[in-house]
Amino acid sequence: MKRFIATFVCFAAIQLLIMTVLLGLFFNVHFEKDPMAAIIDKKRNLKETPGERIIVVGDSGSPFGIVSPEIEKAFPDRHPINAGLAAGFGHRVLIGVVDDEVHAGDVVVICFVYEMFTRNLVNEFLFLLSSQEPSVFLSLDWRDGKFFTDNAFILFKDSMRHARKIAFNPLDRDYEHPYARNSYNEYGDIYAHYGLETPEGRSLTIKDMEFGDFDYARDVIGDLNRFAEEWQERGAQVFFLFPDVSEESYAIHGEKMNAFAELMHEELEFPILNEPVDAVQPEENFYDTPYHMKEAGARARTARLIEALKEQLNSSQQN
Amino acid sequence: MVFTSLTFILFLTLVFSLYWLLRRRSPQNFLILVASYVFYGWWDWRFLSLIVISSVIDFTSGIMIDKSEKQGVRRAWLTVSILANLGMLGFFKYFNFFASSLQTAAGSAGVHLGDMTLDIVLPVGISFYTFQTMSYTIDIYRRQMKSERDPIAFLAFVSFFPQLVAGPIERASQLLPQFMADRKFSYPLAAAGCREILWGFFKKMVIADNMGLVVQSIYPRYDDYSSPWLWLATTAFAFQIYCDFSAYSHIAKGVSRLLGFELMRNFAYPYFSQDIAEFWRRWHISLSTWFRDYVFIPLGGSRGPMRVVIINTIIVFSVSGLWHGAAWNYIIWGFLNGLAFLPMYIWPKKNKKKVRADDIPGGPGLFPKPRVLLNMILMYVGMQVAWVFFASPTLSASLDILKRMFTVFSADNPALHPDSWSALKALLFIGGLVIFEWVQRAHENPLTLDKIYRPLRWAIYTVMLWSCFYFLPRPDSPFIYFQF
Repeated sequence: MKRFIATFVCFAAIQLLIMTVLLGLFFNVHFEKDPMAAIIDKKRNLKETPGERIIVVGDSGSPFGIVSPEIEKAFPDRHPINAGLAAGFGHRVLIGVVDDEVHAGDVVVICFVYEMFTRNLVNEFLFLLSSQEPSVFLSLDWRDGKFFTDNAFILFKDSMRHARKIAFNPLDRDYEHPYARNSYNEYGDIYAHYGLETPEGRSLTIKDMEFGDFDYARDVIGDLNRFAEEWQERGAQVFFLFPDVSEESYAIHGEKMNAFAELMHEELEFPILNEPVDAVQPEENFYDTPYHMKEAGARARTARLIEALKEQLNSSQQN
Repeated sequence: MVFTSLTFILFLTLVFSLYWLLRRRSPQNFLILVASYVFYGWWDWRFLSLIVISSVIDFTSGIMIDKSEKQGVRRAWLTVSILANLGMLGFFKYFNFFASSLQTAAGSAGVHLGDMTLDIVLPVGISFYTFQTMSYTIDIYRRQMKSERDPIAFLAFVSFFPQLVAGPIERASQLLPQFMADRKFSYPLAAAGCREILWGFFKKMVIADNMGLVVQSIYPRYDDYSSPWLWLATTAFAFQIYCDFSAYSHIAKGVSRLLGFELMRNFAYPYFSQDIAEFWRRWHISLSTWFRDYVFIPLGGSRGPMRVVIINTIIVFSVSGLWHGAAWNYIIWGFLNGLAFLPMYIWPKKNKKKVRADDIPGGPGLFPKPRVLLNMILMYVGMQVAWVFFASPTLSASLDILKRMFTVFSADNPALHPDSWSALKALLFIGGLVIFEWVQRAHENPLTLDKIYRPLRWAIYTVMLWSCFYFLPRPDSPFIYFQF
């Protein structure tokens, strides 16, 4: 047994050394225009933007569905920040991005796609995000443990691919729009796809939506309530916004969406700005996924958000 | 819990450490039992009840058969065991297939039965452990072994996690005695186990999963592809299923060796076979021998008139097809394999030596004789055609794909083709694997490199290990055979 352990430890030490070099490169050498670097810009925005802000927290439906300059026009005293990233990072990471930076006077609008309430969507793309911002791992808890151990090999894969890219590409290499760091405007909205047609073969209709007995949804709602309570204690106002979907998606899943909305009204401890039935647009307003909108869609959605926010903020002022 | 995940590595490290700290057989068996239930319950703990039910029934049946001298009682308990196992398997795996087939048959006769299918989830590995436990009671009934009286050892035998969900389907007479024997750690056995695990990881993560990408990019839209692309996809599938399944067996064997157990060999370079009989002696050996011992021989085996032997063979292979999947394309796949035996029965070669799995395929030389090479190529191509039925979602899709493979040489849409790098990579992987396995075919595990200087050997292991990560497709795919 001793011989086996000694041999195994020697072999493992070599692998550990290789792993250390690869992960060192992965977490320390970055490509400037990497789309994942958007998190750095968003965190900087959150840290450096002064005064009272309107912060949108969410998945990729937010950068692809909000036109922040319109919000700025409607609320000249508040600075909009679109902190939305991607559903595949999981709701704890998406909230964690803004958590420390919410302060008194801020308005936080949480906008998650329906699927975020059906199961833990965190996937291996989180590793790519962690390359830019390793602190995202701090947002995870024991419920993400299975994801981590089931997908850790992907982290090794990504670190090897990263090392290969470093060897063969300049660090200022370009990425394909709109999935590049410079596809975002100064507020954090993606605008590089404005004017582009839907790429061929993309489905704009939600395929599956299964809430089951809403156990997982309740879990997420619980997390949202906890964060919202903390932010409210700091003096911020928190709202929830249902995502916009295509008419086709609503026709298929509208019943489930409305049942989920009922649960939200029962269990969410902060105001909801809209209803699923109001957040429906023609399919031509969507770009490359059931939640990524073209400019027209994003503007329509933003207009409704502004209207709802004005109503809520006015009423809270009156109170 | 999937073998090729950090979850499993951590799990195995924990089990391995505790296991050898315990030192005594009984607590070690208990640890294996707990670990196996955790391993299985990781997917869905509710299905653990099926394993427990199956184990309890077979444990009881085994004792009752063993202690009774009355043939009627013995037969009754055997029937209980077989009905319980086949009942579970039949309900969870085949109910919807038979219900929809009945519906279709009735519909074609003008009788409308309505939807009779149920929303049933197939428990992982049910086909494997039910067959394993059935062989236990049958062997006791045949007085080929004694019943096991230690319930922990028996439960651990049924649920032994390295081979629980995708085999090899072990015989109780081979595996159970190992649970009753004291285990001593053996360096050569454990080192060989690690090599088996590494080879299994490489086959699954580098070859099978990347072949799967090629298959997935072509098969679901086969209508858009012409013959060369469909041949490429079918070749990729042939190696995907081989590497996927044999990888599981390698890892199972390797993990078992780390715990001091020896499992049976399940694959012995099947694509170097020269005829169908040899192929089935080298492919999924544990299942082939199970069907031989518990179905083919009781039906009469190869004794009796040729007509009966042919019918028996076709029945056995068709049932084997059904074992793989509850769909007509699997049955046809099995039927075709049975049919392929026909020429061997009709024109038997005199003085032909029966090849065993342990024989070196193609003979001991580095280069095969031209006739041997031709036989191997013909055998492989024939098997590849049969794999179309296995790879396709439906019988009609299989027939369409076969038709296109032999008749459609253009009219495909180049825009849909997988990129040339994927195709080239697939061919390079296949070529590399075939050459490596051919050169190393004298060894049960081709990764037996004892004669190589240790630093170089470790360098090879290191490259293989990191290749697993580098070529791992995202998202990673579970083992194909889990669905059976």
